Amino acid sequence: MRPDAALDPSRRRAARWGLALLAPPVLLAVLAPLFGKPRAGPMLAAPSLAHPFGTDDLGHDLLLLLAQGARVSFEVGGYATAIALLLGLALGLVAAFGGRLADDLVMRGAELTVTVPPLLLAIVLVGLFGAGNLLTALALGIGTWPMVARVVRAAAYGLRGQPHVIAARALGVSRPMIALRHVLPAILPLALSLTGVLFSGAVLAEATLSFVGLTDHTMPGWGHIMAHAGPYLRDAWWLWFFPGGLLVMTTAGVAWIADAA
Amino acid sequence: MGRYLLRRLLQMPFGLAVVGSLAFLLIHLAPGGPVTALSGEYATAELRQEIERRYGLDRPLAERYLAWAGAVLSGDLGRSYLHKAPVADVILERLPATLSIVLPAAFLSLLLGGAIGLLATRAPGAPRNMLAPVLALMGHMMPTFWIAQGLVLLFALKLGWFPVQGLDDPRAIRPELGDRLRHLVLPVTALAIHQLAMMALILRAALQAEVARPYMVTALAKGLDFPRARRRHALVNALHPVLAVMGGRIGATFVGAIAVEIVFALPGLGRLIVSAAINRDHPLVLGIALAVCAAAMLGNLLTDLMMNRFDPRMAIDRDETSHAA
Repeated sequence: MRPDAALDPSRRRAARWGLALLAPPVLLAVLAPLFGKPRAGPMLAAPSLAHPFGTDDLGHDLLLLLAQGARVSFEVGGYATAIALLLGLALGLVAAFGGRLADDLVMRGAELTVTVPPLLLAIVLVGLFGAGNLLTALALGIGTWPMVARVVRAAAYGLRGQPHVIAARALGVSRPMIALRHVLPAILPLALSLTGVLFSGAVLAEATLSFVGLTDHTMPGWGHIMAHAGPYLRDAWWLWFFPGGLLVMTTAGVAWIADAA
Repeated sequence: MGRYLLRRLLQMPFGLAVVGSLAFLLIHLAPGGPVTALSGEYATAELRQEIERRYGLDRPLAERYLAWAGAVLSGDLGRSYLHKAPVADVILERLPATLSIVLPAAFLSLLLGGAIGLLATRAPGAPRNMLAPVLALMGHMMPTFWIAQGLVLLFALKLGWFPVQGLDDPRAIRPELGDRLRHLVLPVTALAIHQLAMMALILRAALQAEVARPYMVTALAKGLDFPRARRRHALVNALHPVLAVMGGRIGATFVGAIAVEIVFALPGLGRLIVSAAINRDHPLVLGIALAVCAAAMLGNLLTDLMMNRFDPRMAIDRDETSHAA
């Protein structure tokens, strides 16, 4: 986003590392439909040529399970990020341009939302309404929009005194139009810079939710696979190592790319 | 100061009322209900009706809301459907296990995280070290339960230094302190690793901004060595953002303990929340939500008061001091 970002070698290095880390999980997620459903094989087999990541206690190939899990992670992470950004941008602009009452309402709403820890909100919502990629993402997005809204509102307030906004007002442009045409484009990069934090947060939260059992059991996420690994940790290190490794590669990769952008 | 405190304290019940009412509405909008959880899927219609009558679930929503709100206002959180006991008792019974990992972890992370954050701060222009990326990895990118499982794998299963799970040795006749402490080492470590990394990162970021300021240049120019200037001059000024972020995380800390409680099979609040939500134990879900939110609000208030105390630049009348992000 910063114009000098491309020139800074350490940033470029971070971005390259980030891409390298993110590539395997993304590849798994993209290829998952080609692999098909995991078939039963030998139980708790160590990693080998036939099963590169080993098998779980039911004889499922761990690589295939994790590929499915990757889809869950990326879908939930993507939806949740999009929901938080959209809600945050919309409500932040409403707060900045909608008058005192709207501002008060939105900001009090944001304050109330942040007193509820996002993970608690997600646990209660998913526990009550059921898991599914979109539902889970909605529960996570609802918990994180205030972060976006606050940044957007502050930036929009700062822009209200800028010459181009004053000029637009003098020309009689309506407030919603000013917000959308003259302010939104300027604050979009700022809001998008939260993408990395939101995405890795959502991926981690989804993993935690599916770890505690709040997941769509027909399509288990990485966390669910790790919860399943619990009783077999002594004999099957791969059940611990690979899911967590992929998860960390995803969150770290996204964070480093976001840092460099 | 007194008026500010009074206003903030008066705002809390209002906030709790909004959160509680929204939660009540949401819970009763959710599909499925406690009846199925209580009676099983194949119950007869009579049994279901009997259960509905007994728990007052056949009455209209508005009536139930008023009854619930009235009871909460008089300090009664209701009875848990599943535990057949007052909600407050169920929560209080589970609280010690959660506190016994959350409090030591918080203490450790403040102390160790603070020390690491302080030491990781470089003089402006000094070469980078690898500490910050490693801390970020532990604090932001690794799930706590993965760290917890890794600790179990290494220190409990392979090396056998610590027990795998639980709070006490099940063979013991009565709980012993030493045994209890041995059981707590791994869960506390798992929770603390995550938090101390966060603490260290925030403090380091704040310090890094402070050490570039003119007063530090002055201190160094007058001959103070960098570590001492960092500790004596920069640290106090860097505490403000640390307080703001850590104070806002009090509620999240309790929730973050859930996964650790599950890995180590500890009878804490975390597992209670999950099972209450899945089993539609409405009074219990509402009670826990209110309790966690009240704790978070108190934490925010305490943080704001401390920040006002530490930082005279913050005018007490300004209301923009609550940042819990």
